[in-house]
Amino acid sequence: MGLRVQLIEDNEQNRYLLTFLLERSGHLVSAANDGLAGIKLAQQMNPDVILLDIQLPTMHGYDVAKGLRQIPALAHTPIIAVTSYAMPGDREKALAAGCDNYIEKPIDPETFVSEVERIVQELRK
Amino acid sequence: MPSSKRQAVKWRLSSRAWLIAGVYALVSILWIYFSDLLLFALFPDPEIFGRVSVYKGFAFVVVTSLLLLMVLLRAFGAVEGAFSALQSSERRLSSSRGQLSAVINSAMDAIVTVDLTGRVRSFNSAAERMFGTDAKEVLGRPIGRLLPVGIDQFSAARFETVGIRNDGDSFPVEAAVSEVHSRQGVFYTAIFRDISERLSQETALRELNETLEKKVIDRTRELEVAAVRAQAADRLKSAFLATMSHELRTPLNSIIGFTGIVLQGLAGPLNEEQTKQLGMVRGSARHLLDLINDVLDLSKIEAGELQVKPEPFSIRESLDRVIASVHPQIEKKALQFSNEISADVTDMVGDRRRIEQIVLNLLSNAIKFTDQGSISLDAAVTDDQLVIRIADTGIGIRPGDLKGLFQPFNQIDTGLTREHDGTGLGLAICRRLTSLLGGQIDVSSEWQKGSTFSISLPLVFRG
Repeated sequence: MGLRVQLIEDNEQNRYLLTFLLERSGHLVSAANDGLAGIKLAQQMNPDVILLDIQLPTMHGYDVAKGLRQIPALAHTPIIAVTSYAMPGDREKALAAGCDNYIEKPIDPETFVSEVERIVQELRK
Repeated sequence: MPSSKRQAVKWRLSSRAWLIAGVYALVSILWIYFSDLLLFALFPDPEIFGRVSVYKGFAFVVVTSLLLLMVLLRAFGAVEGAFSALQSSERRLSSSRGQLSAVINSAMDAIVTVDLTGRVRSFNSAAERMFGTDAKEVLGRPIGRLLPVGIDQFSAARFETVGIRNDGDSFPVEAAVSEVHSRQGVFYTAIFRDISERLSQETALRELNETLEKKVIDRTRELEVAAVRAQAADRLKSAFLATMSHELRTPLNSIIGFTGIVLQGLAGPLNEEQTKQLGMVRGSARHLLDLINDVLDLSKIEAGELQVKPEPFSIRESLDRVIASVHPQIEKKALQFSNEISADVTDMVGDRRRIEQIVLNLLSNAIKFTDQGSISLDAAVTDDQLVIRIADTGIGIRPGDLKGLFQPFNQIDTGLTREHDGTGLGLAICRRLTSLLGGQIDVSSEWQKGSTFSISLPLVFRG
């Protein structure tokens, strides 16, 4: 179905991994390695879904989510947090910051893409 | 006795005297007159009349003398009675005066009487001791020599001042004063008490209180510093856990991800040996991830960082989900599996994620330690408690090993053959989680026959 995906992830290997999986399934990925670049890119790309790592350098994932939500064009774009639930409350904080859903790290390469697609489908309804 | 009453008594006594004298004069005059008339009628002969008249005169004197005697005897008796009553009352008075003065002299407290001009009128022996002087030195002299206060001070019922001893020493003194009205005028009787000891006790008490207060303040400050330090350490620990959690998992995320991709053939075809070895890489990576997760879970529990989040959920669905997730492992080892979930096991309030984690852990253990035979999972509700029982026919646990079973890093056989993978933390985590969720975990086992783990959790747990 060819989603335009905005990936915001600081770890190079993970960024490559997710990009590889998504592109292999026919999605278009634009990747950013920190929050500010991510917000800038998302404004240009107007993506169908944003995958957001929560533990980011310089600007925390929660703040990135809040920033994205303040941009009118991105106010309703699905944001999926990709997080490892490092500490209690992370999940709630992610949802409170404006994320729509979350996928737990480490991701399962066999199910990751279909999980993203399913979440986007559900949010579109 | 009031003077008006005394006047009345005097008047009554003198009028009675006049009355007695008057009656006597009247009776005597009438007697003389009428007895002479009678005698003259009886004895007209002047010679006989004269002689009888003389006899009558003697008889009159005798009778009146007797009467006078009676009156005098009565009056003297009354006087004598009054006199002895006076004497005895004087005796009583002097004895009570003596007693009073003995009491005053033997009193422990100094008792001093002063008149309105401030001169000392009495000074007991305790006062002599207190002021270090003789009574005769101060009697009649102004009290000001002993106490630097004016006489007006004595009109207060109670006051505190300084006493001055003969040798010039001074001491704190407390006075209790009573005003005495007597025939000689108004006096103040003061009881003095040396309060040096009391004051020094009060001072000591005050100093003690101040020291205690200071100590409390010091300790509080120390505690505050310690608390701030502890909070800082706590924050550091939380941050450390969060960082470790992230930093350790991030590279594993890509290791597991890429191994999965390559194994799926998404990056190109693999030969059999490559598939086998890469499978080992993935297995080891997953094991490492389990270890990290377990260590972090346990650290978080120990650090009090792990919070349970109770929510209503379907425990039936949770159990189905966990059973489904271990199904491949059961099939792989060709074990028999049965479950009996009673109809009343439906919804509950608890931390779904953590409850699933416990059940998954116990089921995985059962599979891990059972090479042949069967595994069963039963769930039922009794007394508002959900009881889940997981039984296996595996290697079982030696009685001696049961005790330390729920301690961290305590996998049985660890260090010998390392036949069974695992972190040795699973049961420790299970037990801590169960107690965090308000429940408990029990085990019964027979060596070489199998084990049964049962957990009971409250159906409604609010945290």
